[in-house]
Amino acid sequence: MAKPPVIPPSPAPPECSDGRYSHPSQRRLKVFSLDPAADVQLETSLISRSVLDVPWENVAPGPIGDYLEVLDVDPASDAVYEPVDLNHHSLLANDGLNPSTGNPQFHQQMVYAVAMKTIVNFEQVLGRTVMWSERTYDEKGKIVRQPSRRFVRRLRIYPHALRDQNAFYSPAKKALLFGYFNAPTTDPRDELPGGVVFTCLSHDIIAHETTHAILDGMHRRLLEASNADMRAFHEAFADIVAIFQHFTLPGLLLDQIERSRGDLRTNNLLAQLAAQFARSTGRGGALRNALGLFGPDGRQQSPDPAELGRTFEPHDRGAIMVAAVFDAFLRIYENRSVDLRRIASGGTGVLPAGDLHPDLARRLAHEAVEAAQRVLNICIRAVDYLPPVDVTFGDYLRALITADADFFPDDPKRYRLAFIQSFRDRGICPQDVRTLAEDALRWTPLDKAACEALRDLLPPPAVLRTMAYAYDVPGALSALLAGGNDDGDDDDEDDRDLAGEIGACFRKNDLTGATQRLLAAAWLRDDSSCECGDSERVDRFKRFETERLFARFLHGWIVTQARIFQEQSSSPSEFKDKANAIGWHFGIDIEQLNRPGKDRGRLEVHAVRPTIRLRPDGRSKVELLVMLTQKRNVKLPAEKDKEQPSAFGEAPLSYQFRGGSTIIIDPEHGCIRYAISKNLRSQSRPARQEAFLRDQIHRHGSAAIVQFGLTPAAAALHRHQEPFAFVHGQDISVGGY
Amino acid sequence: MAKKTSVRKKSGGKKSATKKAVAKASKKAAEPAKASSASRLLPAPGELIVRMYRQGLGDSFLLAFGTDDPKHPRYVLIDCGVHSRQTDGSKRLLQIMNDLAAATGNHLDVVVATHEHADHLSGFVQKGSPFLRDELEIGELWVAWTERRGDRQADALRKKRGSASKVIEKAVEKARQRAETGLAEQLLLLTDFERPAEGTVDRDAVKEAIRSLAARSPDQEAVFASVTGEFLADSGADLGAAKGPRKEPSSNELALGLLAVKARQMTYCEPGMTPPLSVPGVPAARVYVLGPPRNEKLLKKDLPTKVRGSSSEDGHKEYQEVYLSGGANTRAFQLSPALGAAAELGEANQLPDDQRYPFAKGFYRPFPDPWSEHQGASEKKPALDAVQKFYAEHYLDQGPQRADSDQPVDTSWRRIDADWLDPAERLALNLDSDTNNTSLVLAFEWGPVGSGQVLLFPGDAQVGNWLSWRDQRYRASGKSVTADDLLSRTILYKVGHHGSHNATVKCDPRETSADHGQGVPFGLELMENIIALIPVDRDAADKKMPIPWEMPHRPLYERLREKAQRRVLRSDLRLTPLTEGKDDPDVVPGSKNWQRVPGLKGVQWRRSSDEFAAGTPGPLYYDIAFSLPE
Repeated sequence: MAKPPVIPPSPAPPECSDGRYSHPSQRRLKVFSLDPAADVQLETSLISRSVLDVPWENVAPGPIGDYLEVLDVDPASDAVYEPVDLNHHSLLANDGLNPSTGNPQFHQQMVYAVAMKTIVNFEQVLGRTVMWSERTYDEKGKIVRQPSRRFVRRLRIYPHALRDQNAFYSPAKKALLFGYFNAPTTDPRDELPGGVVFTCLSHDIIAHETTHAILDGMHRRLLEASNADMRAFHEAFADIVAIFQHFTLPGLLLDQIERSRGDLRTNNLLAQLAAQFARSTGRGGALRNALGLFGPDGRQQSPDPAELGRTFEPHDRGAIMVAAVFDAFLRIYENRSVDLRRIASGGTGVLPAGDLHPDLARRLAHEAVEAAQRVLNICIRAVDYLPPVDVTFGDYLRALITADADFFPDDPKRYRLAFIQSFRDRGICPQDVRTLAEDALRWTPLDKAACEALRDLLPPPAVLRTMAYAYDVPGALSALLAGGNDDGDDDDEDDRDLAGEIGACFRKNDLTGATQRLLAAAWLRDDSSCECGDSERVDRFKRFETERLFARFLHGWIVTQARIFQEQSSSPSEFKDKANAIGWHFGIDIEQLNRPGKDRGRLEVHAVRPTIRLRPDGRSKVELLVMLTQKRNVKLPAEKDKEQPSAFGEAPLSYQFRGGSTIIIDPEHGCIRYAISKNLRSQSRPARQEAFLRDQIHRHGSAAIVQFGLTPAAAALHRHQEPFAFVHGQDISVGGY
Repeated sequence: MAKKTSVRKKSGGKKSATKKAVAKASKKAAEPAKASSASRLLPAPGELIVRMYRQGLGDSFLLAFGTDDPKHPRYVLIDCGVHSRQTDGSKRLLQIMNDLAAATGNHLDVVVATHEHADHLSGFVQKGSPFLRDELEIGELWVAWTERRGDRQADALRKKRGSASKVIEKAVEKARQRAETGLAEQLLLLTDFERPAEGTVDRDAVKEAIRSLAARSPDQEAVFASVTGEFLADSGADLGAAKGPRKEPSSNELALGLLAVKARQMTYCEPGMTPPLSVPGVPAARVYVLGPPRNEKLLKKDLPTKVRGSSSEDGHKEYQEVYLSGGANTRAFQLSPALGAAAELGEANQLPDDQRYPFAKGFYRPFPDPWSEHQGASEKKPALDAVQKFYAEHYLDQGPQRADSDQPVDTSWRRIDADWLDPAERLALNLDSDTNNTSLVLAFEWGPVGSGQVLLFPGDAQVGNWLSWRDQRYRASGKSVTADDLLSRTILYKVGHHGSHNATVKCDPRETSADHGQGVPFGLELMENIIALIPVDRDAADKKMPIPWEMPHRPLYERLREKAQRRVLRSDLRLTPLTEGKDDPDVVPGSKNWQRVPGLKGVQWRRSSDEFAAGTPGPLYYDIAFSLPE
């Protein structure tokens, strides 16, 4: 064995081009289209490899880029593997390493490429940078306050972390951990018995786990299940992204269109997830199949709307929603391709037996891509339209319809109905609508009166505009924060930095002063720290700091206004009315906010980000997305006639009841378009959550107490658990109780 | 002859035994123990009394069959143990064992050891146990075929269990070394079925007792070896030298060895044995052996699994056996070079070293071990090569300050040094389930063949074991009965595994019909109008963090209450768990005098007048008397 080359061997391309050549926009990297098993099947061998285009960035060996760091340590083998250097000229000229199971450097390349591709899919749709979720707690369970310690620049990827049939996203480590294992099969037709199976070579598994991480970055509180749908939603969403990523691989798509003769309701690779993993662990042809079950004719079986009511395991429950979304896609695809079938069949629509005409196959593939693109687009955009807490499948349907309407205002073929129908067929219906009509499902835009009533709770349009437009400006506001260091105190008295100055204004009820300081800072800042030329790239840490500053401003504003409202209201009932109105629309409880000490429910501002929509005239429009949440600690009293699991001593059980809203604001006029809320002042929601928790305790006993952190000790334990195992540890028990 | 001896010895021997017990147990214990020493358990002719001892989380059941000679009933003891989690478990167990010795006059006609778990066997070898004394005699020992040495299948199972515990041991060691004390604790807790409470067993005393018994007859030595796989001719001589390092038998193995040497006859029970076992001198009873199965698949099965999204097109059955237990799916883990268990598993010789790594040798660089500093600090470390330096810098944060200064240098919270050890937890759970599935399952038929009442003692059998009962027919006196038939005639059910969720079955998923999409009803669903006995103490089951067991599992418990019309007898202090509110309390024996059992004809019950001296108070046992059915 030759001595390994020294790292790094190749000079990194200079960040600023010397003017002779511009940087390429894409880096091309070879990957397995599905997984290595497809690569050794004659039927799939021609389509089993693809080249992915990922954005050009300056990658160090690892690969370590701006979003990801692949660290190939394998503690179970006491081994490390040489990091791949994608900038090596041999790899640059050759689209990276050739696909290989036996070369760990290819594994590193593939996880990097597929994860980057997934990130790009999100960025293209959302029109903003993907940010990973912040590090909120340190190892000791203390809250992390310093922005530089909170910020997670790169998601870590460990391609060979475990010797286990599993892979997961670890929210505690902000890392993807992939396992490898010896296939426990006895049938070599499934997989070489005892052969090594790498989960990090499965396109689907990488996309799935990356999506978990991205979604966690967008919606931190989705991890806290307060109903049966939430964990399932996380899984379903990750599966949806993984499945629709198949359609971005042209070779695979065309091949499957030809094989299925354009009928994607027959079993096909596009709808299958993690085939090698499933086969090698004896789980059948695919771990999950977006088509659901098949009838004797080989076509998809019609769904059973009652299934939702008896399926609670997150992956299984999520599979129902995945099937609904895939069904919506199929309806759109069939609608788009019906004319092609008629043209090709002399008007009958019944295609002659045998292979498709290659031109027809290409045209069908084109329609499939278009339909898939639209569905994926909407599925991702809909995440911006979800309430920040207590999400249900029904909420997601409403978010889908609203997002679609905002992004495709014109819907002549009424594709939105495809979603409604597919969800309805599987028993997924929102609880809070009068009918399943399209306009009833759309989140209700706030009317003028409501906007007026809520107006003062949010800062004036000038501030909102600043928040929407200054987000992406390079250099940002972080320079102003440089002087101030966060000393770990929430209400820090340090006035030296901008955040401190603004905080001081708020404490004095000086809203004008705070506003002036923020605006002055935003528009009169020193831009000299901008990087040369490369205006497209904004340092994500600066963006993080900017958003944090905005969030703190908004937090201070709302807290101050809540105080002012109470001081200025002429009677307690007037204030109560105001609080009710705000609770109804924004989901937060300003009455509780004004209480002193512990009873004061902490308000959290989770996001202050731009979001883009299309206006009916075809122009795009930047709007401001704000997420507010507030919590209340609610006791879960012991039921008189039931035994309480006593594992946590006599510590009384309690849970965090959260409310809040996702607010979408038109920054031009400061007008609130949507306030998608879950009311903290609601009476029925805590009752539902309590029933859900009781049911979980009933089913799982003390394990549920840990999982939902119902005592402080259990909550601390819960933080160390990994909630996102790719497969559930325990399979469904059929025979037992 | 033996019997006479035992009767003669009774008075003298008993007294000294009681004295010893008194000395060890607290003073309070003295009174009831003395009182009970006088009280033999003497069922009337044609009567069967089941005595459920209530030591807590652990099994011990005494069956007394009345014979024509009212002074000499026949006694069958099923298990005698307590879990190490039980508060004051060994004291309580000692108290019941003294009662047991007194009640049976120091003679047990049959002892049944269902499986090798401490909560079923610890009593036999615990300090001061009457089983360690000569005067207590055992007629027959019944164990499952899985305990037989030299049986190819049993040996393979044993080997697998042995390697699993070895791997877990190694994982505990590794977790400790990597400062993951939480994981190490958890693993130890998960395997605590394997061990009795610390300090309760004096191994040397047990060995001494076995040795003195074995000395009486030359073939006893072989009997012991056949049970434990070890010779203990004398502690000095190392007979195993040729076979490599000598293995110390576990306390569970010692218990089996002791019983084997003590018993005059030993039976390895096979499922569906024909003729069925019989209690000597009791023609009205016969004992069908339902499990453990010889079918490997079912033997390993703790949970049946359903394949989702499968279709006929895939060529896979909808129900596919996925074996979580041991074996191939944790193979990569077991072979992990960092775990260092492969050599001890004997795998090193069979497998080229290279095969234990996922990649060919050339790709592998030794991990820059951050833990080595804890071991030999003075040792000179070899210089790191470029690759190792890269990881020392990026993974271990040991390198120079990274170029991007806004990245906090401390990223150790993102390291994954011990995450790979997690599968050991599953392995430990599987080890438990695997052992549970080797439980000897006995159905006592009391009364005429084919129509008598059935008392079901399934040990801790889990799903696979249960399902296997339907795979064979049971023949006695020319008549043939089925498992379904036996279950439907069950009148007393000893609930398996302390009432956990997968130790009582409600359906057979292998067989479905239009009415029963989830499988045809089986197990508890076939039973009607029963008495359920759950040897469980919730406080003990719940005791330790992080994830306690749910025993009894609530849905099962509620179903049991329905099936038993609330006649659910438990061994916790919480006699009636649903006392307040809308639910009616459990129906349990309320008096020390015999009372009719509500809802059952010809059945009476009572509670002991003695109370536990240690731990939570409560009656020592419940007695349930069945008269011979017509």
